[in-house]
Amino acid sequence: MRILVVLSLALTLLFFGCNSQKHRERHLLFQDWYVVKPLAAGLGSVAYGTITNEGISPQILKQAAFGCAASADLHETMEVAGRMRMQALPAITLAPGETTVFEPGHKHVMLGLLNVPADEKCEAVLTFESGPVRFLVPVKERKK
Amino acid sequence: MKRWFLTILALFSLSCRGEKYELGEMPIGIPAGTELVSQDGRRESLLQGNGATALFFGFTRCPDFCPMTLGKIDAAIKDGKLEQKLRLVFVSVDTPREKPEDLKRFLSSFPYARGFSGTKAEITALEKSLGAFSKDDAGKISHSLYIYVLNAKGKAVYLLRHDDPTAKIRAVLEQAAS
Repeated sequence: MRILVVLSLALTLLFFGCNSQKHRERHLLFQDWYVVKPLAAGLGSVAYGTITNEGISPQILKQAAFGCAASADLHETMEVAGRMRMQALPAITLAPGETTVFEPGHKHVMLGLLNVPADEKCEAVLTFESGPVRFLVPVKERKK
Repeated sequence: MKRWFLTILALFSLSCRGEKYELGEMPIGIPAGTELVSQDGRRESLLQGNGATALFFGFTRCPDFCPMTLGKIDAAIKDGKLEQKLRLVFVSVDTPREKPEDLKRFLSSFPYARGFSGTKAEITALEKSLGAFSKDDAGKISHSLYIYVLNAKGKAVYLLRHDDPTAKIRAVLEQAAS
């Protein structure tokens, strides 16, 4: 029985470990980034993920670009008095040791006119004050 | 062993118990015969047949909140097999930019949904009848976050929020459609 429990725990850890997308560069950890498949061809979409500043100084994210999108903008959806408002963010400061989350209904990268590549992978270029960081992100269905 | 089995059975039955919500006519709703321009480019009534309607304001250039909320409503409708019993109405508040073909493309994954647009005055009147409000600040659009659950008469019977759990959305829509 104990062996079965240990085995199932190990398999669960292995499964989630293998499914976690990570990229480390410039003391920054990028995790679980993905581009949401658009509702239909010719529409815009959005990218989500997290960035952890593993360094000792603040990092400033100034802009984003995605190879599969005509445009990419840093945005935030906010609830104000019973309404949802989306506003552009000119830059995002990442404090040392903190994780900034880009998720539905909050911070996100707004993508204009998405062209989903055949391999369903898209190059993300996140430009910080210290320079650009490039990594591949999958294009996937929106997480429910 | 028997006690464990009974505990698990009790927990299972609790988790399967459908939550009941208080649905009742509210003093807000859309007047019967309210028409707007549909995704097919012709004027149509927002309410059709004797079924319930879930109405949601948004706009097709909205990449985050609107697809997220539509996705949740879709999951709830499919979970509850409500496609034939309920109509989803998406009303665009982006009056100067929205075109019927944009709405049709945006909603193409949701066959039970119908997209509408109209003049600023028409959308404002519709919002007012539901106690809603939107604002277009040089293309930065804000709009109501509620999903208005309407009965066949157009009266609101429940207001769902975008961040309500899918199980609650499904339960409310099931009750409204029954």
